[in-house]
Amino acid sequence: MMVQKDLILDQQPLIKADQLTRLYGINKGCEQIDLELYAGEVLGIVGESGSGKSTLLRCLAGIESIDSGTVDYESTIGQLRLHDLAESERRRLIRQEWGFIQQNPRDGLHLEMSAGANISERLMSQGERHYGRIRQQALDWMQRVELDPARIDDKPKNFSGGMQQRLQIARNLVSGPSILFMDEPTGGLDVSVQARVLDLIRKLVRELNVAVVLVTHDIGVARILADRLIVMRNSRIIETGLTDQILEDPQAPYTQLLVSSILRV
Amino acid sequence: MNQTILEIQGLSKTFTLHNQGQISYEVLNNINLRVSKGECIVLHGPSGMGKSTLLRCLYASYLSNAGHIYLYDGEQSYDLTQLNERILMQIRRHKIVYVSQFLRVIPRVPCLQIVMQPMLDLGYEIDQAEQRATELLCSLNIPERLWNLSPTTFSGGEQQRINIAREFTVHRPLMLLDEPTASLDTKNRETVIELILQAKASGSAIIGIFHDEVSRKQVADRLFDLKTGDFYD
Amino acid sequence: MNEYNFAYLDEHTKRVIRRSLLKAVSIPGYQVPFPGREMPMPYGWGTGGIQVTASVIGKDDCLKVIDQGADDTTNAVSIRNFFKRVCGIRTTEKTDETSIIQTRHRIPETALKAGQILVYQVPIPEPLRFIEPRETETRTMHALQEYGVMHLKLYEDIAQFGHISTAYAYPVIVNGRYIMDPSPIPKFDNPKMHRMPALQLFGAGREKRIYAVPPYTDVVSLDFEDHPFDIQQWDESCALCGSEVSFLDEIITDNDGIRLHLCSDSEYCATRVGASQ
Repeated sequence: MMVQKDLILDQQPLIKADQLTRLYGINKGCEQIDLELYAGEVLGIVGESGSGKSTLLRCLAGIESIDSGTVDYESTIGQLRLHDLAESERRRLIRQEWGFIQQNPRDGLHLEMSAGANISERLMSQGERHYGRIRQQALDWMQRVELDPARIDDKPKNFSGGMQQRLQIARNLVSGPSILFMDEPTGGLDVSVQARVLDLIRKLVRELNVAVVLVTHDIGVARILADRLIVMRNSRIIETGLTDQILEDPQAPYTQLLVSSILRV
Repeated sequence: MNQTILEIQGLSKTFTLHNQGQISYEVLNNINLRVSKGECIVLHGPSGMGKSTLLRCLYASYLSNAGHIYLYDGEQSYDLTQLNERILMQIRRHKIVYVSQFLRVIPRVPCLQIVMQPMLDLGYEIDQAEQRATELLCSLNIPERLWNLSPTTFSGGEQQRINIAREFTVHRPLMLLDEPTASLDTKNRETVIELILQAKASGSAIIGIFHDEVSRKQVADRLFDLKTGDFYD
Repeated sequence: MNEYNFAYLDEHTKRVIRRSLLKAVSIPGYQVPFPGREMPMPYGWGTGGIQVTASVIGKDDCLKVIDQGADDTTNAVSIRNFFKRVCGIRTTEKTDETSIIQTRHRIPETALKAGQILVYQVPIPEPLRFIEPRETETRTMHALQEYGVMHLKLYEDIAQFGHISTAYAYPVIVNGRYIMDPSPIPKFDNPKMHRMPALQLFGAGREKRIYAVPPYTDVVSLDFEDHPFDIQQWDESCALCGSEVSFLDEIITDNDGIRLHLCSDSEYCATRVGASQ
């Protein structure tokens, strides 16, 4: 990586949402969302349960249909309007070019297949057909997510929650995605385990220069991982800004309430 | 060396606490200030006057209510109050350093890594970054046996020195220092003052808050009184 | 006196099944749903294969039925007799004299010719079922060619056993498009499917699916570059006919554990024995 000397002023957003709306009840879902995601940044979407953040995440990832508005993705082959694409194209995007980390790793893993098989799946979907190379990559990735490589043939149903989550991360990152979507990645984990997973995510995101959209109700997680924040409530965006600005100088009444409710440990 | 690096025009900041009866209090009112290349301005005034607030506004941690903050960089000028977040993020990485009083400690990250991170973010090679990082850790008297430990359990003074090491690794046109020598003993204070003087010599413009008079006398070119808007030498 | 319609099924049912077969032949390897009928034998006894055979068989056809390669096992005999009864057509054991062969779990050793039809009995038609239990999902995976999971299974074999251990029902890719379960034939038989001059039809009665491989279609077994597909081999040859190239069954002949290797294809073996006399 070259030392970047100058500022890049005219970067195009990777994802641009324009008046994105998906509602399945009054104030349930997301409405009139405008946002942009740039390469290499971590965008946090925070809010309480029911704010619509998970719905927004799924709409941005193309795995949920929308009522109105647009989501445009700047891919390597040009700009794509996400919800105009055929389902096969959207599925291919989420499985090849993007990653999605589920809150419950059980939803994002094949529990009955070995850890190595879980990591290798994307490689094989992309046409990699050399067992030796596939296995070596799987071993490398086990180490990168701090799983013992000797357990490559073990099944994740026998792993702890933290280990399963780290396996899910490896499985998604192995295909070098340009965007990683994360839905409460440490939500179900014990506090002591969360720190380890968060640190790993931070490190890998930096190393791989992946753009990340991170949904969390935990402001502490957002503080550690996100560069920018979007605060949601009742399906709408209340406020956006740099993470430290939102947390130290919140402007909107709801944001002030949210931030002041954090227990300072 | 009279080139202006930073120009603050009519900067005001008011806090409104919506959930506490809409209390509003004005902390900064019509601040005007210019800092040149290689110059160090120390903010003057008792606590609560808004010195930290000003630094935070400059770093965009706080949003200003009125006024402009112009950053001059060679041919370019940027109004920091008008920039979008994306560009602000880059400016923070390349142009402005903010040394706060507290090291934000993330569990598990070793202090060598913490010090190296800004260089790595800019694209420096690992060995280059490591060399510079160890140089600074040595001069700030952080023993080598601590380099691979996370600073979570270190003393306030040690954390402060790691913070400083991190922010002084790369030259930047503008440095904002909030009590950098606060928890340090004499020897380390001298080292930090030396680092600040070196930064000045290589052209950084500095705005700092120093309660301790010794440091202030050695680094300050001018003092700025937030309340009156006057300069002192 | 024959109280059944020719080939047991009514003509409308034959038409429906032929439409399914036509669609299957048009999309090699693609599983076509069909409305299977109540047959006079339970699921698991070849009802799919029988319905396919019943839909294509005509008065002038000659039928061969084999089960694990043998014409003389109970099931082969029963099915052959069934068709004799409801069709009155000629039956034979000779592979090269027949027009239709219905088979359970083997392809005859004798190469098949253009104009012949091979009907396979299939228990589970869906090759992805082992990893994805939902029918809705597997259909989508086939439609979108999301076949990464298939190589997962082969990967697991190599990880666990050092080699691909799947010995039968070895997955293939048909016409470069659909992944297909070739039915529980030994992988030894997979190469025979590739560009076979005969028409290959597959019927799964319980699952109600039909699929097909038209003549001269590419059928390639899945593998890895560094673990290429290979077929079973024996050190022994057939104890009866001496063949070194056919699929051998290992038979334990007495309580002392004496074993013999014999051709699984009984007709092939008998023909060779006859020819050498």
